[in-house]
Amino acid sequence: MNTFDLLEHKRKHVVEYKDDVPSLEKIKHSLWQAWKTTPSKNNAMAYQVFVWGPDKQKEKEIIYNICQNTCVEIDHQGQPESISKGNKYLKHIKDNPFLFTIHQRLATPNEYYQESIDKNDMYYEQAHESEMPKIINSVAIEVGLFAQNLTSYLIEKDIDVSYNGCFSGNYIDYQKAGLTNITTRPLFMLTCGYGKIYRRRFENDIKPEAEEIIEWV
Amino acid sequence: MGIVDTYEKRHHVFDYQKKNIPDELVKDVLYKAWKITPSKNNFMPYHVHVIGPEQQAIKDEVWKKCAFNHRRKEEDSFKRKDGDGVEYKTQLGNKTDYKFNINRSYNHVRYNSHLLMFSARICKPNKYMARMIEKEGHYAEQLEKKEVDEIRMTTSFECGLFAAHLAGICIEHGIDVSYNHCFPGEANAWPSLPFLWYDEDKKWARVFANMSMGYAKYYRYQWMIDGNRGEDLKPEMEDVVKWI
Repeated sequence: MNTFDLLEHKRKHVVEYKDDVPSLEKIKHSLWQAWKTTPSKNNAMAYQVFVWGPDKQKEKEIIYNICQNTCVEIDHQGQPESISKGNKYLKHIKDNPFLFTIHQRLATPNEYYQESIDKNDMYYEQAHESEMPKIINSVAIEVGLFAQNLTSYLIEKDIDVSYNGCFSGNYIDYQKAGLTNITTRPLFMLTCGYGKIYRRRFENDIKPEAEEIIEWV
Repeated sequence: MGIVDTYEKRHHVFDYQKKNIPDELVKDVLYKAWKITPSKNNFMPYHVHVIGPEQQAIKDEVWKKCAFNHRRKEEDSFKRKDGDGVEYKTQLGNKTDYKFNINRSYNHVRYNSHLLMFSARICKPNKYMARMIEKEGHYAEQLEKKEVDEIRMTTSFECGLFAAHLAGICIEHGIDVSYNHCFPGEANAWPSLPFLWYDEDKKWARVFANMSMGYAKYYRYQWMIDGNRGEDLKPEMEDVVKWI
């Protein structure tokens, strides 16, 4: 099956997963495929994927609560009179076989770049803590490439995937809640498993037309 | 053939052939990428600008911006100016003087069949989201110029999803693609390219990525082999994927 057919016909946002847990081999293989085929500027891969497995229910609930609080906070910051109670489609963050949270990571140059740094005056920004906030856009683009690749490999194995872009970007929030292994900014979250209930496709909830997004100059 | 075989075929291009991709094919692959790319609240808060074979002046300008940004970054970091002859210490502590060389990896931004530029877009809510805003107290950041910077990380991520989809579809059609993330990040850095502006009054733009398309003549990996330049390896998987 080609890229278009695979994603057009098989990718659906999951509201609730079944209790069945995909095999560890399938998850590990999909992660390996994504790592292997995702390109990165200067081969830095300045991000890290944390895998929270079926035994990490308590941690997933902590992350879910932070996500919900963030949603409510954003709604109230934007509209002080908001009656928002959070996002009803976030349940997949706490109830899933596997949760992946992707965080920024300080990179180390490989031998090739170490040599370039020394010979050609190259500045390797991915290795400097002070540069982390400045390069966040290019790292996030790469996380998008990685997440898409991972999605394809999981869906090929009939494992469903759902995304979450509503979370606190401040790692301190996670540390305060007890997740002390989170020491850098989260960039994205996705879950996987076997879907039981998928998000309904509402007639009015459509994306902008292609002509609004793609502009020929 | 699985999807992994498709993505294994992607390589960074140093030089494209002079043969252009037919516009109809470019339109088709872009449409398919648009169709399969999800977006938070269905906003897609970005534009994909397509700069075709006839727009060489724009490509030249974008390439110059990449080189300018690279040089500025190095000069700021080394506290030296190109060709000033003054010695300084490299990141590894060795002494040298500084001469700027334009990275050949940017060549694809200048010479290609089609160049794509991803930039910020101010959105309008669809009917579903309008109801969420009116009835459920939702705040849609994607509608506000003032939030462009605040949501730049999630928008970048979504551009990455689009770019990866497009890359897969292109490779399946025998089209090569390459990425570029090195360009000025300031909102006022693109005064001469109004199509990029999300705020026309201030002439502000937020560019997330450049991506070129064409038929490759010479890849970077070939250049590495031809010059006996050794191996340029990515970090080990264990450095990137951590089981908690």
